[in-house]
Amino acid sequence: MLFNSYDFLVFFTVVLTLYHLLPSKFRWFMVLIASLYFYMSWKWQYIFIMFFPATIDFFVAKGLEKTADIKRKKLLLSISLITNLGLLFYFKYYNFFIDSINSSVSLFGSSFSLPLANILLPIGISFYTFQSISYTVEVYYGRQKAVQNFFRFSLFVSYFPQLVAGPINRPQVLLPQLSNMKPLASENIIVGLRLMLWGLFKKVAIADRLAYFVNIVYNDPDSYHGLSVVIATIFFAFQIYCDFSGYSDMAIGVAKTMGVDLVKNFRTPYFSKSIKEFWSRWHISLSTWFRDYVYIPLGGNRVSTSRWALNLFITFMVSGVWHGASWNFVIWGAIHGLLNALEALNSKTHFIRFSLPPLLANIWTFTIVCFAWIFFRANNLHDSFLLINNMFSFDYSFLKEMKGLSGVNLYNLAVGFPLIILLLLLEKSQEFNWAQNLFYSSKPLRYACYISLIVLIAFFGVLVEQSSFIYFQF
Amino acid sequence: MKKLFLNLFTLLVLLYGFFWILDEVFTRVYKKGEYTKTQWIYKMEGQQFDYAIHGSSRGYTTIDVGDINKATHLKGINLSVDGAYIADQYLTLKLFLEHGNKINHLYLQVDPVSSGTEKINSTTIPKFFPYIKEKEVFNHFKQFGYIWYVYRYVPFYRYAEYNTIWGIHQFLNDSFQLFPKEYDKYGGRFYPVSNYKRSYKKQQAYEFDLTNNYKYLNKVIALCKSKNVKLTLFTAPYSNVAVTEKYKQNVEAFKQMMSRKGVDYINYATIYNNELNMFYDEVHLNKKGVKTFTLEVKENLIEPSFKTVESAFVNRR
Repeated sequence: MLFNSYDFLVFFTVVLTLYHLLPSKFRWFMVLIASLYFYMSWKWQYIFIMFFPATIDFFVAKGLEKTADIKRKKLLLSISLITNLGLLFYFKYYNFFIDSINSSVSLFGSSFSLPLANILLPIGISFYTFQSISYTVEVYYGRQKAVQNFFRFSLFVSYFPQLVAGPINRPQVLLPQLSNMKPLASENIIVGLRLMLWGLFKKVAIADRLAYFVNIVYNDPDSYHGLSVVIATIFFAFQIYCDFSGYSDMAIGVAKTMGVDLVKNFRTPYFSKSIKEFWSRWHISLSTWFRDYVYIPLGGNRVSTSRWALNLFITFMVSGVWHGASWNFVIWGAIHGLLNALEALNSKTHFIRFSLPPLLANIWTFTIVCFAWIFFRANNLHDSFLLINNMFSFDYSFLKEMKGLSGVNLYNLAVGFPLIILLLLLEKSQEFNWAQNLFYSSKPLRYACYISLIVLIAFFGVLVEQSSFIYFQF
Repeated sequence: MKKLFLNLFTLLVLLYGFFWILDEVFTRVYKKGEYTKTQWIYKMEGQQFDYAIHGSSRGYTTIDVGDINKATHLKGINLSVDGAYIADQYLTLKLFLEHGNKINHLYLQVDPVSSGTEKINSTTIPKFFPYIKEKEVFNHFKQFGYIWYVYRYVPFYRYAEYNTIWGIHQFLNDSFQLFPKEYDKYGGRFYPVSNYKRSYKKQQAYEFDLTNNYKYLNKVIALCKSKNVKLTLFTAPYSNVAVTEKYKQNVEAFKQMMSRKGVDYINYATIYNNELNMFYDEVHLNKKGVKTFTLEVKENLIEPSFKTVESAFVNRR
């Protein structure tokens, strides 16, 4: 059930109505049932994959709270980590791992090969696994009390607005809110619906619109060169941003209508002036998770300068691998890891003696991020290098390449940049609170804003088919 | 909470009103426009034609009506719409004739694989959107699912869903004629000569379903009878027909079936079989193929029809 579907609209209306009608003590249970239904709407078998580690984490956390013995604590935490990461490894990386072994063995001329498994990746597994891990780790460190009611814990793991693609919430943020579900409040509903509308606009009017041209170029890398590849890559940068931040906004909005505040996941990342800043604005809930559970345990920045750089590099490599079992994601993580490490080294040693003016720094950062996106989007490693090679081929006519496109795809290309500019203007205005101020101005102006956004969706949204969200595959 | 519902209701009413106005304005402009083939055909009133070519994209891109008109001094038109199945073709013809247009002889291109279908092609769904409120159009489409009620009664929804075709760009285009039409002045469009190499060598059977009741084809036949239009069916060339004994028998059986209804059928499907230089793709001729096929159609199909009968509508230019 996608947020951008009519099914979800009906589901959400029913959930909100029941939420309002039920006595407060039953609300959380109704939301749990709704969350399970929401998850089972993809594939009912998924529920077992989600509940198996959740059950173990529930009992592990209770055990962690009861014991003071550090060895026993470590053992219990290991059980949780092995279960969660083991399942994640099996579903996401098993075939990649086996394939890599088979390739390595074949280099020595052996015909031996291990069989690949027929695995269907459960939707959202990377997100709810990380949320569950953060719970047991927090209980381990004594920063979070263990939940005593299994069903309440199940709601924390399966809470439907953020179940399939985050934001990944910490137990300290989410559990108290879910155990004390507030009655519906007009202000929350208004803010929530507004966020949902904004997220929907980003998803269907920008991400889905840009996706057409991106897919044309990236699915046929042999046929496109120079400017075509550059435009497709810029489009992809905004496609993935609008797709994912659109989903996050909708998730935060849905939760907000029920009075639940989820963590913010994006803060206009393409206005960043360094890679470090980019990662403080992009997929915030994941980067802070890696910071707290990978980077800091590695020693963070309280080590030697070279070790600090290495810690950063390792963290980003892990982040790359988290995205999927492919060398493309490994390289994508390595690029970001390397740049973060270099920026960190430079901040200590100042081997680069000049600094770019803000606008140039912004453009430079965006260019680097776009370059890394090539590896993220390309279908395989061969295509990535082919596209990079083609990007620097200037003996091809852009217009000639575009001539082969259908009228509909030329339209998709033509509206791409105006939509991106509109997005940047609206995001910038949000940064300065101009947009927010509009919503607290006179009623006619407020209505005009809502109607304008809905009309923009009607004019430019891809409504003929409901496309899935990119981050559902992770 | 009451205030919130009141505000939401107000917003919904405003939205409905706004989209209703948009729908009216856009529809008015689209009805005046001629960029798409459907708009052009729909606008035509009280015209008289000696002959018309009709069908799907294989009728649209296969015969150069302009060449035939020049050579024969007949007045012809191409009514075909790309992607149209027989149900859509029936509606196009019905509307065309009901708008006071007259045709002496209709040449309908029939595809063995789709001439018996009772579905509408997804690509033709939006083609009639500006006219969805017309009784004839809505009555035709409402049998294809409840979504057509949504298209008909929810203002602007249909234009929003298919905004790549009926979007703001089309509105501007129809207002200011920014782009040339997608068809020539006779209603044809032709594919360039390309280096077509069949992507797969599999020969296709392209056989008629002889058990089908041909609901819409029969409707076309009945319509032509009632409007006094002589009807001839033909199948345009394919690049990869598997010419077997079974295929020949199938074509003959279909020919007999149509003959019993008083309709001629000519099979051109195999005329350029495996001559890939004539084709743009598997089922469409390129400009070179069109030139050759047009000559064939002129000499052996159209001219013989008009040799014995002096056209009632000959417009000698």
